[in-house]
Amino acid sequence: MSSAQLLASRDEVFEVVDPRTSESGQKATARPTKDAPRLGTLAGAVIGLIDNGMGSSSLLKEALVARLKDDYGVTEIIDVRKTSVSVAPTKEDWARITDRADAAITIFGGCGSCSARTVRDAIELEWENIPAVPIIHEAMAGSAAAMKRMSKAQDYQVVEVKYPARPTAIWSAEETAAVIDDLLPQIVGRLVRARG
Amino acid sequence: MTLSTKTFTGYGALLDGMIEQGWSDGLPVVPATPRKVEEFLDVVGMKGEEIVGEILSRDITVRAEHVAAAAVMAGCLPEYMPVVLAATRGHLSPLGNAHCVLATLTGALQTVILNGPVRTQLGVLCGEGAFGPGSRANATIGRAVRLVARNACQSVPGDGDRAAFSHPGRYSFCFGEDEEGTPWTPMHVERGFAAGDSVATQHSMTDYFSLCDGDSRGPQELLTRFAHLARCRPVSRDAFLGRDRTVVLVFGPEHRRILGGAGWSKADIRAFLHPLLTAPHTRTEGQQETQGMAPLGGPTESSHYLPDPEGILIVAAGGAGLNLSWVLYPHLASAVSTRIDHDYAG
Repeated sequence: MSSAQLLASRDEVFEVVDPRTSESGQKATARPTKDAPRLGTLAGAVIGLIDNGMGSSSLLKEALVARLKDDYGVTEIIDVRKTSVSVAPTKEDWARITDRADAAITIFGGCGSCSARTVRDAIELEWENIPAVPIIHEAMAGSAAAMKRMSKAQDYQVVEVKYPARPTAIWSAEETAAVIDDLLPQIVGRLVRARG
Repeated sequence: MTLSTKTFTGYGALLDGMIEQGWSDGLPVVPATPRKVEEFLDVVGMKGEEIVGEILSRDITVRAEHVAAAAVMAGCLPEYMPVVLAATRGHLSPLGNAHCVLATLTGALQTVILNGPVRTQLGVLCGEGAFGPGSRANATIGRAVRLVARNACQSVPGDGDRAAFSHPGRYSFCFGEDEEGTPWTPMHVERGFAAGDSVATQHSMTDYFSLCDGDSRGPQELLTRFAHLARCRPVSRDAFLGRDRTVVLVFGPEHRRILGGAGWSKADIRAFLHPLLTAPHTRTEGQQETQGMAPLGGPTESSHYLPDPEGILIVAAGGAGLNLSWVLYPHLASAVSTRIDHDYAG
């Protein structure tokens, strides 16, 4: 059919392919659809901490570790620093967490790709039956939502750092402490089952 | 072929419908009829369900039929399909770091640089106007790679694409090296391919800056200025990419006259530039580096983390007249060169 014929066509029925992977390319995998069981307490727990190195995430990590140990009795942190902000941990690092951690925290979702991968790290830990919580900035909620959709975990909960903290996590020690004060109850609430 | 189909009645409804379905970059697309998609698959001798690559972070498997559909929709001719396929393979290779470059706030664009006989056979612009519109091959090959990103890799703005501003180069950015316009060794040969091979190099980049310098009279002066310009932005260290960090420099013909006229090869240029580009940041005392981002007042120049001089990829392109060259900054991915499995020389 010529271009002129196409343009004049009003009743012609055209069949075209749907070019997306949403149905045809998405992997069909059998995975848990529920979160891993939460802990009774953080006291005595071994916590895996996956850090992507975003911005001042090292400050966030240090402050978080100190408060988890001092305030909640966490006994050990398995510290994993990823090789790049938006990739999965190496197999060796993944095994360090999945072999021994009672629960895990993934930081920090402060950019488009790293926030999605931070969420994905936590979801994959849940698939390993390890309760986890990803920490992202509220500006990256859309990125988290996209990754939850892709992972078929739309209801998965994340903990968000709020403005005025900057999304890219370039924070001072004081700003970091304020962020921790706000986040810590939410983090603990996601890892420990509610009483009663 | 495993792709589902949709029907539309009337050509106007078809054109509008394909955009309303979310399949387009915003511009009209060519209808990817099953027959047309099969025709493109036949060129590369693949079945639709054959796997081209995966993005594990997204649970996405990209099949040949996705690439073919994108190529049809972008307006490619069937003979462009092997090029789109090779560029897509590069993008989906581990060092292409696809999830990262597609979801980044920076709006990294997927540049395709072509070498070898494919350029002349398909009419790829390499000289005048190489970066812009005017050639069906340049326009539709670059666009097809981006439609793969959108439809197959689920890099849709507001969803799997998180670009804060995005970039007009994300509609399409494909050009060829002007191999005939320079005595320099073509990039693909420097990267280990045969001169007769056709090769697609996929380079996800965040920014490009131009050096417009008509004052320099010799290679050292020109390249020192070029290095100063290039160091306006850092190339950060990334443990995932390791030693495979790359930056692309595109030299226009006027600058090539200065460099080539003095007998400088690409290797000579790299040897001169490498220490300049990789020198430490220059910044005022007390300032801290934060992922290469400059605090107010500095750094005045940012270091490029390029462990090996071979990480500096040099391309000859562009038209005569303006004293212009370019630096194409990488996002967190390496430039990946893939042989195009098709005989364009015959």
